[in-house]
Amino acid sequence: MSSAQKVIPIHPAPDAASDQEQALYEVRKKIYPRAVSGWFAKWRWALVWFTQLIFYGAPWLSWNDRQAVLFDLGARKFYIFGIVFWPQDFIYLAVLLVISAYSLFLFTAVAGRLWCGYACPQTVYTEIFLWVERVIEGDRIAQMRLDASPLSARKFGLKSAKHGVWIAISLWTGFTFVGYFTPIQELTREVVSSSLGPWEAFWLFFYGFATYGNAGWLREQVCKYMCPYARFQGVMFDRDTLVIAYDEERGEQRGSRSKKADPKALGLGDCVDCEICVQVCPTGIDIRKGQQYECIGCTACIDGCDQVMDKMGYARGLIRYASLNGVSQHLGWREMIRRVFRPRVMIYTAVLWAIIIAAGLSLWNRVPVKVDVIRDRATLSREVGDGLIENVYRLQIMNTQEKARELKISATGVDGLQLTGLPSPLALEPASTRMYTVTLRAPVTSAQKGSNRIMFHIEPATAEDDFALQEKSIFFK
Amino acid sequence: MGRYIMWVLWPSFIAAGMGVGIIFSLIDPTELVILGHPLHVSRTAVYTLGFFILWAICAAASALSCFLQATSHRDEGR
Repeated sequence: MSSAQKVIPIHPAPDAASDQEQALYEVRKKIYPRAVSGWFAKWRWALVWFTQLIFYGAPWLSWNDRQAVLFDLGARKFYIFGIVFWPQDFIYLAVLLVISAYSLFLFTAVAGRLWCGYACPQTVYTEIFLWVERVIEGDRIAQMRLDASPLSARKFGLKSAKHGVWIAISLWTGFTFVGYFTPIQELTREVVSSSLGPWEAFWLFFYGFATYGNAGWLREQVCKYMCPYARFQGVMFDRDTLVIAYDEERGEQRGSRSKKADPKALGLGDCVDCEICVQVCPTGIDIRKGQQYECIGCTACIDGCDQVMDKMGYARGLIRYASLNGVSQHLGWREMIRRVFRPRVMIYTAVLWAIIIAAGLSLWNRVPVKVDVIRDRATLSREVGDGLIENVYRLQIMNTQEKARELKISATGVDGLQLTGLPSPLALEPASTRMYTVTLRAPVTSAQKGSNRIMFHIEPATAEDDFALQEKSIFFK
Repeated sequence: MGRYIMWVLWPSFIAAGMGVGIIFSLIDPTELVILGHPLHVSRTAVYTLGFFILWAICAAASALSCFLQATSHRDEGR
């Protein structure tokens, strides 16, 4: 045994209780984005108008004497202009989601978070709510002063007015939302006569409340903490993706200076450190720190900075739309646009077009009639007189289009098979489903013992229609 | 705490919305039989209740994930 034992020194761990308890997360400070005007702000507002005219306006359009866009959940039929979708068309909804996701990937790879900055409902409603806040409470400084001031009649009045307008917009949004599922004209009559159904009322208030909460209170927190896209959009980026970029090489060393001073003589870059870019940011970040997942690509900082550059007499574009390669390699617009056509973008585009074309073709070639054949469960088969065997079936026939049609239905598979129980021709009303009980009879001698494969043939009775449907079934002896 | 509420309620909201879409595209609520009793309520009612039941179940799963993640030892699985 060795006498020289190894000694392991013991360091007491800091007493956990003596550590000051720290909050797990910093407390959210309210962001007061400064209003900004400029080229990009105009585009943002144009997109707000465009998307909201569609959202608020679409339910009021008519088509074939009904609402043009109506997701009639009660009747399990979706109407989108001339097309009627049935639960059997679920695949098209799935394809639509795939197309949306792929478009998002493509736009993100080309020019970053265009969706977030211009079209996401969270951005759009926040923009509208901020505008209301600005009109009622005044600009950024006035809002900060108002919030810091003690409660007074004036503060109470302004706050009530703001929340009143917000709630009105939210309720109108909720009403429009429900109007996509219940015919909006009917809904209007129900609201006016206060005879709104309980579920419609519930969804109107629920959606309205969500709008009010998200656009009025949560705002940038939705993008920062709740949005999954914000977290994974980075994987669609590369160094040639157009993003909101601060030209660090040109801007640094940042510092304030007089307009007349020569920055080079002072050893300064073009950034005057006015912090306008931080003040206008709806998520409260500093773009000069580089790419951050909180940046929703709204371009407010570009407009803000350009105005300062104009005032200073410097070139615009210290903060600009550019790719990371564009900034570091001093690429011009032409070169950056050329780099848009890179393999990643080409592959995204090719896949997207392939899906769109496949979905379009399948929709175009959709057979307008669907038929389900269900065997009668009560009796497999029975003998009737004259040496005949009888089987009973139920046919569910669906006319998926808003056009009346006439059908001829026959069955084959056993010699001498006769079909009865259907009018001929069979008239189907537009966009309707009918159930018919049908009997098939065949001579005992021609059918095999056990099951016989048979086929129902469904064809149009008029020349203007062109399709042929076949449905398999079994005839028992 | 507020942030945990967002993390629990929002993903479960999206999941419940998708779930309700898939389930009721395949199943017509008027054909539902629960514990041997056919339902005598409107489709809209079933859709709404179905959505909230699913939301609650998904929220429970999200909450459990959050809880397990927050209470795991710092050195493990991070």
